[in-house]
Amino acid sequence: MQNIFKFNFYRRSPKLLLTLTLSIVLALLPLVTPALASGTAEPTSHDIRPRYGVRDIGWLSDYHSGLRNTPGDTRVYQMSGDKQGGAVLILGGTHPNEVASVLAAVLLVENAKVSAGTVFVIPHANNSASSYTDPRHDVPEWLEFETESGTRTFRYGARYTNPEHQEKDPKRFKHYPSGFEFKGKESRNLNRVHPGKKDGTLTQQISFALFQLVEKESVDVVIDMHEASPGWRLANSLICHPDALEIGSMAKMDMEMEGTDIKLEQSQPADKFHGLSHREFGDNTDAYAFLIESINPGQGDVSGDVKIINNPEHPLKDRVKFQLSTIQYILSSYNIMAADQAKKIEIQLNVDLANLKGSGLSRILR
Amino acid sequence: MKKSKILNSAVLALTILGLVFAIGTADEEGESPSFEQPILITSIGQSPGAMMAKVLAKRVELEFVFEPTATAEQLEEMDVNTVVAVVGASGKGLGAAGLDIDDEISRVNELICKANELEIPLIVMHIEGAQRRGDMSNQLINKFVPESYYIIVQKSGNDDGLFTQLSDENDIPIKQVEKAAGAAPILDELID
Ligand SMILES: [Zn+2]
Repeated sequence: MQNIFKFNFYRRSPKLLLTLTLSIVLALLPLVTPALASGTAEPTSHDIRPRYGVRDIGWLSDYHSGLRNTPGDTRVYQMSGDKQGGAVLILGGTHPNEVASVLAAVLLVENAKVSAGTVFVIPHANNSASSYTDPRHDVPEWLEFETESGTRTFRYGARYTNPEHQEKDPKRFKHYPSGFEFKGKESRNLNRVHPGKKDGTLTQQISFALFQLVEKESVDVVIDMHEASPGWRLANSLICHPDALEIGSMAKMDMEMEGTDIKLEQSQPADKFHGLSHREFGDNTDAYAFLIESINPGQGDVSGDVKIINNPEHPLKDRVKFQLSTIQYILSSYNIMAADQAKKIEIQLNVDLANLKGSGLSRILR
Repeated sequence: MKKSKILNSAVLALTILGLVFAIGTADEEGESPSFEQPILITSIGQSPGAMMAKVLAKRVELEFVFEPTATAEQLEEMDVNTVVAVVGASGKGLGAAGLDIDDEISRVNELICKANELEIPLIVMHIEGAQRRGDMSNQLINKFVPESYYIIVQKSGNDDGLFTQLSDENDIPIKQVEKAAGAAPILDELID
């Protein structure tokens, strides 16, 4: 109810909205906090409409029971083909403010069909961070699409785990197990806490559960989708764990042939930086690990009424297309490179990415 | 009469053909040595470009050794006839190799000295485009491209004409490709 209320008022009066939200949050805080602390909060649910391509919908807590009944739990969509093959884990919403990652994952669940192997899609990897919009950023709280079945909305989430869902940030955050130090708030950054900790903070437990999934499901490829601000050095790039660099090189050159430029980088060395998905999944599991960065005009130095969906330079449909086509090229390169041909993974997108017209995504969301 | 005319024309044609051929050969010999397999694929700057070259070498089935951090000593032990060095600086790549930029410059310096001593010719490639043209990459390009016998560059990486200029100044043949994958057939043609 509260969400719908916010949503209706948003356009007319952001100030009123902020005041209302603040009062509601402040009023509820004493009531809400004890409930969350005792670990009985429900995870946020989202409007996702799977098709027959999805064989099973589970919970991340199926892989780590410590997440059950916490705001860190999230849905895991399992898609599998008639042909046996390898497995890929695709993460959206590690940073839920990087909205193309969420939408790309949603489109996979709603449109794709897997013809070989198994595809695990988690559209809201850090579901706690997708429960709120960071009030410090001047971005819309909800993204709205007019589809054939009516208006659909998606939360513009935050980068960090909801501060209400985790104990107070430490002064300095010590990465586990390396001991590498970050600013305190990075303890709520899912892409700094990998490979997680079984009895750690909520964020560490989300990470731990993802690693359990990769282990238990014998995942061969992990792809973590992100976005960066337009000026950032790593915008439009594919970052590969060193073991995955050959697959990434092939993908990059094939994308270039098709007319898409993508910057290729490899993970920082393990003694220089810690906690990033591409580094830690590559080091701690048997999977080839990749991170994709598209460009989000809503990140970085945002002023005024930034257009997230129909931005003239970086429309959301292009960013989603970039994510999905990079995934396709990673998998086709993996299929060529993988020594075991019985480990192939093939996804049919069933979306004509090249011809997304207008706001585009409205037409392919169910 | 008729017969000798044909004969004359044939002789003339053959002479012209021979001349063209001779010029062609002389030209080639003057500019570049012959490149033979197997090749060493190495990096100058530890960007992913060297790995891209490995993928390309596989595509055209060149016999290669892949060693992005190859040293002079290693080259001496290797059975290779051409060095293909892909230039492009990456802080992450250097870090992963445990090298800083000065270590990298002295490694490549020694490697090229050894290659010259062993009469192994060097091909330098830059195939990551404009995005791999920062200050650190430029330093490596300016220092090592003049040491090469052949340059292959992806067009957007030569937007400012630096590679063309280095090619002109040092009389090194250069081939420009639209896309990185276009370097594969060039390597295939160039290397016996
Ligand atoms: Zn991110």
